[in-house]
Amino acid sequence: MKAPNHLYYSESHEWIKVEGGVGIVGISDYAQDSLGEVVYLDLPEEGQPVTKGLQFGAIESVKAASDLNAPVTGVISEVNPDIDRTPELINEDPYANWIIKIEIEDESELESLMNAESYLAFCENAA
Amino acid sequence: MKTTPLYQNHLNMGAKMVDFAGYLMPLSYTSIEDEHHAVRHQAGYFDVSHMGEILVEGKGATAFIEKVFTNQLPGLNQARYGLLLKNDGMPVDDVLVYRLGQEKYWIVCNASNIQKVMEHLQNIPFEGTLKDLSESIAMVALQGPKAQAILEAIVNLDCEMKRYTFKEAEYLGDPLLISRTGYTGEDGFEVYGEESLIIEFWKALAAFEEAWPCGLGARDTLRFEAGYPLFGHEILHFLTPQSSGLSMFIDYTRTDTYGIKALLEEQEKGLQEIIVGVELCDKGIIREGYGLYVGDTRIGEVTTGYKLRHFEFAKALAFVKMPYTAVGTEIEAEIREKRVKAKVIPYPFYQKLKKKKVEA
Repeated sequence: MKAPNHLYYSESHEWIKVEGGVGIVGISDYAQDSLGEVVYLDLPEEGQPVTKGLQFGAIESVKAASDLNAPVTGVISEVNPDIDRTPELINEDPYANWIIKIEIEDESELESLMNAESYLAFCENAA
Repeated sequence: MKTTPLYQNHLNMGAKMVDFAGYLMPLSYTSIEDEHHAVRHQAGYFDVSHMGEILVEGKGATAFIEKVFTNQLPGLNQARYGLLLKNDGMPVDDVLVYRLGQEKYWIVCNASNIQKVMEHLQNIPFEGTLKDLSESIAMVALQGPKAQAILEAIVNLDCEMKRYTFKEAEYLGDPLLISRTGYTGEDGFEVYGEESLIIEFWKALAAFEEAWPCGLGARDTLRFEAGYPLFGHEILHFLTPQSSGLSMFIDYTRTDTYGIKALLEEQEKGLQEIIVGVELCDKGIIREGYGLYVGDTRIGEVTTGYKLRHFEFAKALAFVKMPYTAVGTEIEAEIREKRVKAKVIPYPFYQKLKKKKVEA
């Protein structure tokens, strides 16, 4: 299972990478592997506000539906059109294929997220 | 958690395991959809050793089966699908009954219901033997257009036989029961034997490149597409099988059989709801438990739903109330508190093209 070092991770298995005040959000390798083949994403609109820990959309595999939760509070600045058309990209590379970008309100919220090492330990305990 | 004799084989083959009816079973080895298509176009094999096998043998066995089983009795070396009902017409389980002798039968039931079925049967007077063989018998389903050729190559036996018939064969010197039955909508076989023999049989299957190991994920999408109900989803212990669309497996002339009188009474009153096919008219997926509406009225609930890649939109089986069950009825599904347009469609969603007879 992969968890790149430069990302932050939430307990609901989203990752976030920060580039100039913008958070790029996707789901982790562990999440895509647990879900199995992703067939549909229920995605929000650009400009929609999101709150840390609350649902902003859903990701669905053949077998199950799972909530997508915002790792930070802010406003959605972009939704990835590629994964809307080709949801299985998430399985192919969950770190290259991001889901949304968020204009982050308060970057200190990132401190409560996990780094790669703690996240891997967290997944180990969950398994 | 219980495991089947093939548990270690599943782990060695990289299966993703899930809890099903108290058993740790393979969900998939590669991907659910790839396994689904392997069965439709080549062949797939499934560990279904969790299923229950109950032996009914001895004096009065035929009369006993007639008393408890809704469908006509199978002839020798035949299997029949039907239900075991309580007196009030409610299902104990849906089962396959195999006739192994004049007075010898197997009842093959769902893993989750073995105990319930045994208790039900034990309460009915019978002089012969009633025995739960589930712990010692393992079972593998080999399904798909290439199933027969693969099976024949392994057991070195002509397996051409009619659907719903079976043969008692020998494999590596031990008895194997080969039945032309399945739960996928595809041609195929279900093979029963002692645990150690089935492990050998499984290993032989694994040597065939065109045979894919398949998990419960694909088993469910395949049976769903073929319109086969699953107990606990389309067959419920508090709704008669008439609501589940299973009337064709009920011999209504045998009014002494458990539950038949209650079914006839229900027919006079009329059914409240039945299983129908549903298709969304837009993106999204409807899943078990999701509500179906016409205006503010909740008219039904999804029992199984999938969006497979070869579907344009998600499809589902659902219990829908009268009078909203006609094909073409426009309804709405509630997905995460939002309404999505849907309609009632015919099911099964998949039917294997039957070989056309050549007209003279």
